Amino acid sequence: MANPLSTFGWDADSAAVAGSNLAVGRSPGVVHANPALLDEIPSTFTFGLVSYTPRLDIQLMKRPAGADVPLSIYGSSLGSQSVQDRALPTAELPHRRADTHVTNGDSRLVLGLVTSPYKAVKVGVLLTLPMSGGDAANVATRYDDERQGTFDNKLGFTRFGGWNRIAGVAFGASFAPWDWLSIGIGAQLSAQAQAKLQVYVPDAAVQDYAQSNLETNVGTTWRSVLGVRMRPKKWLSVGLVFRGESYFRIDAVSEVVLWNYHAADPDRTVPKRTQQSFPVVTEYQPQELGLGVAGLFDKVTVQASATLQRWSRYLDHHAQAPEDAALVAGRNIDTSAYQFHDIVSFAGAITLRPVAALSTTLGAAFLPSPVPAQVGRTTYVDSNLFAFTFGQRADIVVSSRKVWLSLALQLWQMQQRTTYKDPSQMVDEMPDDLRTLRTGEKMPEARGLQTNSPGYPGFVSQGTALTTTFSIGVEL
Amino acid sequence: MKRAFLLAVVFAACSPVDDGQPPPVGTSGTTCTGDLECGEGRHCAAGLCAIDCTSSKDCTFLEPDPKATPTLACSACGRCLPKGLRDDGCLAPGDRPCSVEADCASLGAKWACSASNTCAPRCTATSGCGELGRGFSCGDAGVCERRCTRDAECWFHGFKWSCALPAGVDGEANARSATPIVGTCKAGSLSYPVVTKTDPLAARLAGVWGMMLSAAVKTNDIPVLTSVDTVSVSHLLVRVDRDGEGVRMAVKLCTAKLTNFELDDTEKIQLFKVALPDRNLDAIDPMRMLVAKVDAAGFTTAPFVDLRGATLADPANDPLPTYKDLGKQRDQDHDGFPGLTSNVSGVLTGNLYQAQRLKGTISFSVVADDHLQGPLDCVQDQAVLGATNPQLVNDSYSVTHAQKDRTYVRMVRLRTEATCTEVMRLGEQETGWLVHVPHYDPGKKP
Repeated sequence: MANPLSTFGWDADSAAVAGSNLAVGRSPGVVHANPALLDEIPSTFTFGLVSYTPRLDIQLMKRPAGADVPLSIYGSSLGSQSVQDRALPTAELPHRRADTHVTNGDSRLVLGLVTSPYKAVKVGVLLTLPMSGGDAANVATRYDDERQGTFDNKLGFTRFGGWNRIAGVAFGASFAPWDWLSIGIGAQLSAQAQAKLQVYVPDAAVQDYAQSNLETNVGTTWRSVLGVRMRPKKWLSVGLVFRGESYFRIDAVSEVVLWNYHAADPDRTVPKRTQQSFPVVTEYQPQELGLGVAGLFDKVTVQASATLQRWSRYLDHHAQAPEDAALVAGRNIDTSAYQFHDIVSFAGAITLRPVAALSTTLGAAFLPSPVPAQVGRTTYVDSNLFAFTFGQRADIVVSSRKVWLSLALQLWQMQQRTTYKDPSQMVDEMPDDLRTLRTGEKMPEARGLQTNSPGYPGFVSQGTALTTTFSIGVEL
Repeated sequence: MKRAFLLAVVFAACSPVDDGQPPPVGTSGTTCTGDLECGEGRHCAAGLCAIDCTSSKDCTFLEPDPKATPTLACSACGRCLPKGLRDDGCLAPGDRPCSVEADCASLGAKWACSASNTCAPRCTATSGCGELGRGFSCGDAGVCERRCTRDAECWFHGFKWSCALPAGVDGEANARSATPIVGTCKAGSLSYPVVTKTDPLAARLAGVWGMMLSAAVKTNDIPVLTSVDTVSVSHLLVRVDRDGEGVRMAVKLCTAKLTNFELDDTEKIQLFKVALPDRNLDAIDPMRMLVAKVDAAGFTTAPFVDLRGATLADPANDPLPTYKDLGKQRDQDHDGFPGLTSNVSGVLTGNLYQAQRLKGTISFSVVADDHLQGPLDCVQDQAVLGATNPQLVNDSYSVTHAQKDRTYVRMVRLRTEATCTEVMRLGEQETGWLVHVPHYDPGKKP
């Protein structure tokens, strides 16, 4: 999934209110939440640190006997058939099928800046960098079906827990023509790249040598964010935000030339060049439409939000829609049930200010899972998410400058979800009608389902994540 | 924080279950109760036919230290076991190797270790050896054995077998004798060098193959019926050896079935049905075929002759003996009657004694290194040498059928240890390269 700060919040004030800050805000984190709220933020520079410690698990169920792809597949008629995918014997997979444990925490540095170049206009920018490791981006992709058996042979989390380490930038600006209305626009950096790998293999029998050149083009795309904040009453604020769909897409193409390799043409000598395309998509963020309401009272602020997230347009790491990835060749399966659901997530918070300089916030959020039951070929792992948040903020004056210190804790709970696979909707990687290549005999070990899908016959996913966010703000 | 944690636990307790079904059991694999049901190379594990290895190299995955000297070997039933352990429960009892009686003890007291070093039941007469199938008879030691008078009889069990005759008996002379000395089949070793795609085709073709030979004839001047269209479908075990740029083939007949047909392939009522008894089939000499040079685009055998029930100075051209002149007949199946005996049923019944000859060449197409096929260009003739029913003694004659595409050959490579039983089983399946279809299809793919 995308930058985890989109879920946790970009700074401590956003984290404390569980992301419900669509109608009222107190920090540059509103650049992501609702840029129209920049109007309420004084010119400020902030420095923050977000740390998260996940404990997320996917436990695989024990495989029934006969479900592995046997070594005899090499001696089967599959070798003489023109098929796109051929399974490796399970014993020859590079890794044994194993549970998934996401326990590696991470920290991100967040810098924020809000300034006012013109009256009634505010501009904000947020920058986040992964702290551990020296790389600005660390992106991994995966297949969410039987093909992953050829790689790490594990399942992975789709939405919460499958975070990549990648830098992020968000801009925003607001314009408030009247006190009761502010309009905001923003953009979050995304990127797209094209990679073309040209390979010449002088001797196809020598597989550890080839001549190659790489050509890459990296471009930027922006996730658009539009927001409105209205304040019909002094104590009531309403915010509306739209965030566009975004993802990081890489269109990779490899062009392979072999020595003395020609197209079958009786009249001409035509060198054969093989092209392979493999699109990759990461950092998917759905289109979102959020509505927030806040009640602003003397010593209490109450806010709540509901956000429609259009996960139904989701693309997985190989640019496939889940309903397409669930197709099984040769079987008439209605895969529409595998399309991700659009969901509405909810968040709310209450902030108490017993004294002007101190405020305490309690919040909660519920993010239902957009992932339907994964009983078929695909295994996108996700479940409902609950969050409970706590925040503490102190506003002080240092050397005649207003400074604030803010701390937020979040406990995220991924609800336990148990999935049992339906063998009739999975890819039988050793079809029942296979026969021995040499003698044409039936292969008793091919009967029924044989698959390298790590998710078969089922799995249980659950977990928690604890986040700690600390921010310091200095009014400019 | 504690309360939040409790709340989280409460939410987690209401965990959804997708599908709601227990893990599927028995949805994969073929159920079994013992190794024998799974066939050679496989075993029964947890009620399902399984195969852990196809060669000892595959057992590397189970070695505690894959880089150390291997301690495991792939058993005859596809298990990785410490070297030296016996595991032959998937083999038919008569195929289980043994060196002492104790090796066969698990089969029951009735079983002993035969002179062929395979387990065999004790017997008092050949009829007691029926459970082992063809090729066995009751030996002098009171144990069913692979008995023989010449090597070709042992080839029913695979080309690694040869006939061990008593000392001083000349194999060639014994094979031609009217009263041959009986010996015992002994298993030797047979292997072929490992080849790659860059080796010459002649080297790549070497090995053991199964063959289906379809030969159609029209037999004229049969009493009552006048003429009958008949196809002979033979299944044969073939040994191919490289000979320079060409190959030599030794072709052992395993079984043959004669079926009458209609020209339009509609079902034919079998009014004149000829069956070849095992004694007839087992007595037929192996065919020898030569190919001077093999080529991936196709190759043709030198003319070969399959002569049965006669001894001729010029097997290809001398006239066959007839019931009027039995001088050159040969009681090949040693049943005391001229020629080879077959059984006739239908409108005419009785035992028919015949001499037969097939002369021809095969033009092979290389479908793949493991699959060959091609038309058989042949001349067939036969002569009646006698019969138990006088009506069967006549001057009927056979000619190659006008529908030439009914006469053809297909071959598929088998494992080196393949037997006639294996070839016959391949011919009896619903589909497969050795399953007979009425007409030759030059475009057919495996």
